[in-house]
This record gives sequence, structure tokens and C-alpha cells, in this order.
Amino acid sequence: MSENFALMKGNEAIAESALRAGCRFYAGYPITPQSEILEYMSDHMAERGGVFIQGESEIASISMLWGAAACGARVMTSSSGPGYDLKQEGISYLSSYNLPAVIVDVMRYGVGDGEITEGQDSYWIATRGGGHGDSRQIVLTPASVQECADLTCLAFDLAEKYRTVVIILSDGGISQMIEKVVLPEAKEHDMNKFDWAIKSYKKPEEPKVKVTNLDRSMDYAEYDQMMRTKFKTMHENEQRWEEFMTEDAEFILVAYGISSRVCKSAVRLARKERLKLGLLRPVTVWPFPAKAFEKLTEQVKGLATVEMSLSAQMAQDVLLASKHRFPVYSYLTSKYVATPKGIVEYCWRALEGKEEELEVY
Amino acid sequence: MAEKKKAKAYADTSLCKGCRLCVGACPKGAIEPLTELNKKGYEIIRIDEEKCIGCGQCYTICPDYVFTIKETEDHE
Amino acid sequence: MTVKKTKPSMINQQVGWCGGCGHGIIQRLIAECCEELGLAEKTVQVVDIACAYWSIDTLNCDGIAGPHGRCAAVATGIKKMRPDANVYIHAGDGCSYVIGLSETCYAAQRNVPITMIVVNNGIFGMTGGQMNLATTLVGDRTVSSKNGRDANIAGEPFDFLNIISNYDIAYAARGALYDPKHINETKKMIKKGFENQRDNKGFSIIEILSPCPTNWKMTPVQAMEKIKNENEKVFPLKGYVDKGGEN
Repeated sequence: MSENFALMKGNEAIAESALRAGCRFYAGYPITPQSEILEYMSDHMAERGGVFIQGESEIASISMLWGAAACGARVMTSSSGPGYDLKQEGISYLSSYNLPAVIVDVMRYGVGDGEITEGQDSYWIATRGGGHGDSRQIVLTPASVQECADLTCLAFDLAEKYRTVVIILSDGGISQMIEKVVLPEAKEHDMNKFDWAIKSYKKPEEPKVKVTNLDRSMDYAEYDQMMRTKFKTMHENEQRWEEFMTEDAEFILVAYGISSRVCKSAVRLARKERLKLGLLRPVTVWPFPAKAFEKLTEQVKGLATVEMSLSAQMAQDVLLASKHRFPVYSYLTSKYVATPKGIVEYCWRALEGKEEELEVY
Repeated sequence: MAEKKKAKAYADTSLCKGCRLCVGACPKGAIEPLTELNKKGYEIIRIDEEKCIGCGQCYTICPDYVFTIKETEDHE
Repeated sequence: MTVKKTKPSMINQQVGWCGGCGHGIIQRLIAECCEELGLAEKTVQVVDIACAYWSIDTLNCDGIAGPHGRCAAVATGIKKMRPDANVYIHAGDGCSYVIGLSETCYAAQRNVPITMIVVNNGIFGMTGGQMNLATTLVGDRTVSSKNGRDANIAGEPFDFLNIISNYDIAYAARGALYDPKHINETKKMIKKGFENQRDNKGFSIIEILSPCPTNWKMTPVQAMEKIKNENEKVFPLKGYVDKGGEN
């Protein structure tokens, strides 16, 4: 048995994988259902030689991240729901100066305090730039404990590759489920290798680093263009998705995270009923896997998203990515995890013209 | 011949912002506020070298590093 | 000719602060202390998004700004990852005592060995002179208290150093800038703050009563008089905590 084999919760897999990826600074605040990430870090960070701080708030935590990330370290914070709201200023600052950082949002359901269990509340805020907007961050959506581990490791590498914030958009279902997982090999990170980082010692004649809310080493036009080029490059190179029985599908579900797991069962159930259902599962929701939609042919009669939210959030991105080539439907399951039967019945109704197509507002 | 070290204040008035804090800080009243403007449009000052004893109070209170205190040997 | 006193070499250009603003004196004192203690090459400055921000371009050291009010948290993150660096904060009273009250308290609560310098000018300067809940005196006119601060509506200002003294920290003191004697005493306080960090003694906070002539709508000389006659009565100049050991 591999020494990396474990049985753990999604939250624990994220934390352990982060430590193995070289994360040596974590600051966070308790909020359900992500508190295990904080607790795991409080237990294990010190033995890896890193720093764990239980912050006095989510804002304080991400502000500490701004400082630690500026030093070139691999850093992480996590939150959920209203706590994720408080991270926004920090996400904007980190993005403005192009600092690598990993932020975990374990989604809940609902606006405001909402419910503290499974849900997919924050798709829009995670994918629309964070903070007061006008930027892009890579957003990864694990749908299993194994993906929690793999995508966390990937998150740190992508963050460093592009000097970007990477958001791991988990949810209360994935975070709490216990599954077997093969954890990544541990690796060390050298925080002194970056010339953009704050150091402990610099001679007077050495160039100095000034980390501010806007990289002022270039003028606005140059900065704006640099950012757009970065976003375009990430969009071009980092789209990730899974296709499940889509080759001959006549109707395709689009879902991520907890909802996507049920969709696989729904696909199998539908096929027993002679409905050729397929699933397109985004693994990045930014960049949204537009390339996956380009491959779809006219045999596809429609697309339906399955989301645990009150608004059709991802459905709008499906409309954009599919360029209005297909009717798009949105199956919103509120705070309840979808059932395979419910999904299949919805698809039948959509095909029979008994469901309204997506309305954008 | 006795050698005596004398310290004096020297002002780079291009840095002056006309705040006048130095005028009151000088124990010898050696700093005179002028209406003359520097390039930035601030009213500058002038040091009366005779009165100046190079104590450095002007340097201490100036927010803009206008003053430098230098020590020179004075041969009597 | 020997130069006895001149602009510290750590300062590489003039800052655009208003004439008579206390920030200029404070920045010079910080630079003098870092140089005299041989810490210039290890210094990392943390400035807030307010008037102190302008210091970031003018000191020859690595620096980081903001977010507004979060300096104490940012400095904590840096000190934890770069423990050998001489990390100081140059922030205003709005940043540190209003929006950032929690962060300031918790840097003290954690006794992080940084040097926090807070500029108490009784106002929100950068944004045009609004009332500062923590430090504007009752009766002072600001753009958000045009008839003078009314304690019935906005409460009273408070002496933050009284609060911070309850934490297990190394040093807390308040100085002022209204004459060379007080500036020299303030410099000693700042120096103590840096020595404590150098010797890993814990958190040091130095609050400095500073003029804001522009927003107080007075001349710099009048502003210094106001501090001496009014502000000092609400914010006494003294040491509050000194656990650092011998001077």
C-alpha cells in the first residue's frame, strides 16, 4: 500500500495536499463547513516548519496573506459564505500586484448567512474577478476527495506560474465526504527565488521591491495590457473539464462539484430509459471550458445546468461558451442535492418543450 | 593660534514648503521668513549666519530636510 | 567641513506631504533610527493607504502598502515569513484605531515583534478631513462634523494606548512634535521600538501627536500650538508600557 494512501475528508485532503505542495503560511477563521481546513493546519503546519495563525477575522487573515505572499511564500486561506465575502478586498489586492496565493471557498447555500451545508452559492463572485472586479483568477472545482488533493497541488503551481490568485471552489458536500485518496508527493518551496518578493536583507544599492495596490513599475496602459494578456493566456491554456458519455449524447448536463456527482448517476439512469444523456463537468469554471462546447455537434438538442443555488449562475457562462447554438436550461435544486430521478425527469420535460429556456437577468 | 570648531546651518531652500516651523524653533532668532518664492511656489527662509550657532534645532523640526548642519574650523 | 546633521541617506527623495505636516519629521526620525542602529539594510516598511502611503517611494528599503487599516495584519504576515527583517508600520490614526482597530489589537495580542508607529493627527487626512472617531477632539470642526464634534452623536475620542496596555506587549508610548525637545523625546521612543524588535522583545507601538495644518485649517505653527494646548490634554505624552529592559 502506498504511503500516500489515505482515507480522509475533502477538507483534510485540501489541507494536507497544500502542505505537501510547500504551503508554509496559513491564516484563517472558523466558519462552517470549512473549519476542518483551519483545524488541520493548526495541527500540522508547525511540524512542516510553517506558520499557522488563527486570524481574528477573515479580513485580517487575508491581509496577513498579502504580507506573507509578498515575501514569496506559498500561502493559503479558506472560508465559506459570508466569510468569503470578507476575503474580497484581499483577493483584489493580491490580484493587483500579481501575487500567487490560494484561496479556498467551501460553498454553502443561499444569500446572506444562508444554510451551512451543501450548496453552490458563490459561483458568480468566484468567477467574476473577486473584490470590486476587473480582474480574473483561476477557479478550480473539485468533485471528489481525490480532486481536492490533486487540484490543491495544481493550484499552487498555477498560482506561481501565472502570479495569480487561484480559488479552489469546493462545497459543503465535497468538503465533508470521506473517500480514499492518494496524496501527492511532498515538495519544498524556495521563497527566495523570486525577484519580486520582499527579502530580509538588501544592500543599499540593490533594487527595492515596493508592493502596492497597483504595480507601478509600468504605466497604466502597459499595466492594463499586461493584465489582459495574462488573462487571455490563462484562458487559452488552462481550461479543464471532464466529458462523461458525451460522444453520442442528445442532451448534455453541465454541472460541477457536488451536483456533478449526481449527474453521473442521472446519465446512467437516463440511458436505461433510452435517453442519451451526457455530462460535461467543468474542472475549471474560470477559465470556463469553452473548448469543450466548440466540439458539440447538432445532434445535441439542449444543455441543462444543475446548480444548487437560487440563481442560474453557471448557466449564463454555458450560454456564452456555447454561443447560443443550443437551447440552454437551468435546473436549480435550491439547498437540496439533486436526485438522479429529478434530473432525468427535468431533461425529459425540457426535450418535450415543457421547461422554459434560460432567461438571463 | 587657537582653533575653534563652529557649526552652522545651511539651507537648501528648493526643498522648503514655507511651513515656518523653523522660525520659532531657532533659539537665536536666526531664521528669517521671506516672501521670496522658490520654484515650487513656497515662501522660503533665510539663515542669518552671524546669529546662527549651528545647534541643529531647525534640522530637527523641519519636515523636509531643508537644513544641513556643518562644522567648520575657525582660525582666530 | 564635517557634516553634523543632514538628511539620512535612507531617504532618497522628498515626499509631497503638505508643508508643516508631521509625517515628514516622523519619516526622518524613522530613517535616522534605522541607520543609527545599523538596521537600514534589513528594514521593511509597511505603510497604510492614507497619508503615510507617500513614504513608500522615498525610503530605500523593501516596502508594502495597505490594505487600508490592515497594516498590523500585513506586518504580521511579513514578520512571520521574514523573521530577520526589521518590519515597521507607518500608519495613521484612522487606519490603526478606527477601521483597523481589531488588527492593531491582535498584533499586540500576539505580541508580534514589530514596530508600529501611529500618526495621531485627529482627523482623516487623505480623504479630505473627515472626523476620526478615535482621535478628533470634541468640538473640533471637520468636514463631517461641521459644527464641531458632538459627543452625543459621535461619542468621545479615546486613548488607545490605555487599551493596548492591557496586552502583554514590550512597549507603548506617546510623543509629540511641537518643538525640538519633544521631537528628540519621540525619537528616543521610536528607537526603543526598533531596539525591542532587534532584540525580539515583542510588540512596540509609538503614537505621535502630529499636525494636519491643511485639514485643521490653520498654519503649521498654529497647528503645533493646538497640539500643545488641546490635543495633549486628551492624549497625554508619556510611556505606557516598557518591558523592554534597560534603555
